[in-house]
Amino acid sequence: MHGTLPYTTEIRPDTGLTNPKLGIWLFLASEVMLFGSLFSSYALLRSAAAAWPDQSAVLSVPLATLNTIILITSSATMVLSLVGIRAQRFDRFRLHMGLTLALGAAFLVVKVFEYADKFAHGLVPATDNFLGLYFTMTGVHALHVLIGMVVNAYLLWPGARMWRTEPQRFTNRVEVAGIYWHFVDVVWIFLFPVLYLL
Amino acid sequence: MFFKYLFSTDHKVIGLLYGFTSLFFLLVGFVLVIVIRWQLAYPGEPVPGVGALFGDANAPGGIILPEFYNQLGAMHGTIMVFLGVVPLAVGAFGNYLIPLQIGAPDMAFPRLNLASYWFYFAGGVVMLASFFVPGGAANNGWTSYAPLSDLAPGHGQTMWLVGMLLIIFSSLLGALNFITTIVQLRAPGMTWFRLPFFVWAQFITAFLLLLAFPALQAAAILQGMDRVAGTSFFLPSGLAVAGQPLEVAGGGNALLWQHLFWFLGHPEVYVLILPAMGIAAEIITNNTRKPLWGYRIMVYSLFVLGFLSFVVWAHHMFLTGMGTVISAFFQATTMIISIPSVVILSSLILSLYGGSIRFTTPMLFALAFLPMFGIGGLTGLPLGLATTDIPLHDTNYVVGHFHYLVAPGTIFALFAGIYHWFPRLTGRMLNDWLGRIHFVGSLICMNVIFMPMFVQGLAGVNRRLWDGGAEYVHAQEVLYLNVPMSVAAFALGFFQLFFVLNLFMSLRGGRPVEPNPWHATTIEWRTEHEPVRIYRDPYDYSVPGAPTDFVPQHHAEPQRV
Amino acid sequence: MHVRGYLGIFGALLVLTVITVAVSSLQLAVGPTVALGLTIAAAKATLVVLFFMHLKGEKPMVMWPLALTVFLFAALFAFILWTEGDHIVGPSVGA
Repeated sequence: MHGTLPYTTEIRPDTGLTNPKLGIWLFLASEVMLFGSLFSSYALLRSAAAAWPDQSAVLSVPLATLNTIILITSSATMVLSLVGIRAQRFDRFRLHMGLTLALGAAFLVVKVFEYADKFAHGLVPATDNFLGLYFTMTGVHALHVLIGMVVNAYLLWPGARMWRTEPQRFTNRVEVAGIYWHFVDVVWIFLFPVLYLL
Repeated sequence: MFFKYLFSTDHKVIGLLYGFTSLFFLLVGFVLVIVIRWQLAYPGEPVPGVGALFGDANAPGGIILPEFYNQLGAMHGTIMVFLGVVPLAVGAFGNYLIPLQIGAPDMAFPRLNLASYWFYFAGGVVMLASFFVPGGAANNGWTSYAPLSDLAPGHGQTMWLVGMLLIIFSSLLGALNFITTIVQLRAPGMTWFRLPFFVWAQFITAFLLLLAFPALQAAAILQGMDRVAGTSFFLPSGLAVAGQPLEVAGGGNALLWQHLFWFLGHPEVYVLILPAMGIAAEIITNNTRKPLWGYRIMVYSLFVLGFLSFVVWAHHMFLTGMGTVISAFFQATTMIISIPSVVILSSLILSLYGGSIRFTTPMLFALAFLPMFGIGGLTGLPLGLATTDIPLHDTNYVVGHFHYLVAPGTIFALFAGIYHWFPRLTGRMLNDWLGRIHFVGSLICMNVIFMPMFVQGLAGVNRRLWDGGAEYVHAQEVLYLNVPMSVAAFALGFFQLFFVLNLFMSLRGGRPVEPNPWHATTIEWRTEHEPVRIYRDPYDYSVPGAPTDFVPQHHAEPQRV
Repeated sequence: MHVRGYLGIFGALLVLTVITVAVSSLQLAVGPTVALGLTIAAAKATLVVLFFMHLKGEKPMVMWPLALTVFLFAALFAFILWTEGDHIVGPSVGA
């Protein structure tokens, strides 16, 4: 049934796109508006605040820098997994997708550690608006990381069966999953300076 | 067999699922307002019959408490807009007709489509369930302004937030599905300017949903944090509740909620009207036997309307203390946005000129849509100018304004669509006489309900008052209007029975018709299964020299000169 | 793009990360801190979007909706700040 839908795998000539390629960019457009609304809220609450904590004193810049490096590296491994599958090197795809997954997990582990550390010091979302925004924005972001990991794990294991039956369609799936994963990285690229350094 | 329908990925089945569910929610929303209208006409009197069912927490002795009245009001708006009208206009009509009208085998992402429906359903369940938790449903208006909504006791408001998140997610998935489908799955020969106007309207609507809803997602998350995690995103410092200072960090901004809400809220009202314009256009051209006047300019107007709808939102906030420059900006954009609206309305009216008009039941509804939308739009003008908005804001004038647009506006167009496309679904016609009674009764009742609201609003009667203004001196002269308005509301309910009866009767016993009984040119009426090719414009009616007064889009002959 | 190209972008991203942390340790005034921090972030994001996400050379049907999105985000951000950013709302401030 789904195989008979045109342009699921082949490119439609006049638009130059496949359906999933257009679909993921449209979805990301809505995500830009979601995170954009959160960043706008941050900007307002901070600029109109009578006082605002010294962010880098409250949060751990070293841990966040580590997480930034982790996520950027995971973006690199993600794009390399696409290079691998496009070169029809399933082993290279598997290696780099596995690394991407591991790095994503590492990111979340660091975040759990960060959160636990804050809670241990009595720093919770309700403490002030800065911490409220910190937990909310990184929380929503972490949820997106988790969803990305689920998708990547699917492509690495059960979904990988498609490589043998419909290789082009599988390759396109890797590309689309990559576009989502890079977006999650881009959000963090902004979250890092905004929440930790500014 | 049940599962075959509930978990089908076929766009027609999903469209029908949306259709049945949304009609049910329209009924729920209507019942809520009937109770409200009883209270407004006869404040403090026990609601007959069902009064006892509400329970002592809501209505001791069957008399509506103010807190329960507020629940009815908030949920009437929420259910009608988010669970009723939009799912019907977009989810049902859009899903069923778009692939058929563009010659596609289905939506681009059929399984995502099914997921969209179930997220919508889940959101609806959460919203309905909220009535039954201690404290009842959300009671802070459909707009849930902070700080009241932040601090509302009980779980009802929190469930409203969860319900909204589910509904929004459903809409986002649906929107990207519609856009991808229209871009990618048009049949060979179906160029952009051969698309039926209905499809264009759905296309722009999908962009509005895609890019505006996330702001409310963010707002709902932030308010959820305020309510559940004790944050103060929308709570300013120094708030006191019941004389006690609030134990929160403070530093929040209640207007942040309003900005985020209305960034969605304004495009949302264009989501409510655009599909209706699309349906009206299809029915008008079909029943005048001539092409739409100004099809191209109508399409360009959709783009302008869609774009502008994103930059007018603060006209809902003129009374929040904004600066004069910002106020001027939003007044300007609001005035400008009336231009494309008027262009579309005028084009539809001009489409009638010189037409061979068939006064079929769908055409009656579509024709009535035009002046009713006109009244709704015109009454919006004083609201869009800050000075005149000052005495009118938050009065019944506003309620009358938007109800003219949604009720004898959008809902009439949706009725028109149901009468028009029923034979496509079932191969039978809805009964004409029942349809005409439904039409006349609904038109008269809606006007009797909503016209006096302008009078009450101009007299200064606030909206959302549980006693309809009975406590206010300035309301006394216009209070009597509540009675005929409520009687008309009860009568409106009565006239819907003709429609419901008609639906059930005609499903099995309606007059059977051959395919394409309305002799329409658009290809959703074709029944062949082979892939289709498009050769002509969408509305080739009364083509000179053609053998019939309509040439369907997929017919190559006669060639256009 | 070849593996070498992607690794080059990756290297640039790491360098920019180091720079942004180093700059923040300089403890500049608010204005320059925000401007620099966001500029570096924008540069990193641009690299990821153009090259990892292959937006460079992407089709118009993708570019136009994204352009609209960026415009709308800017409008939302700007109007919220413009309308509300210069004053504190609430009972504790003025009458």
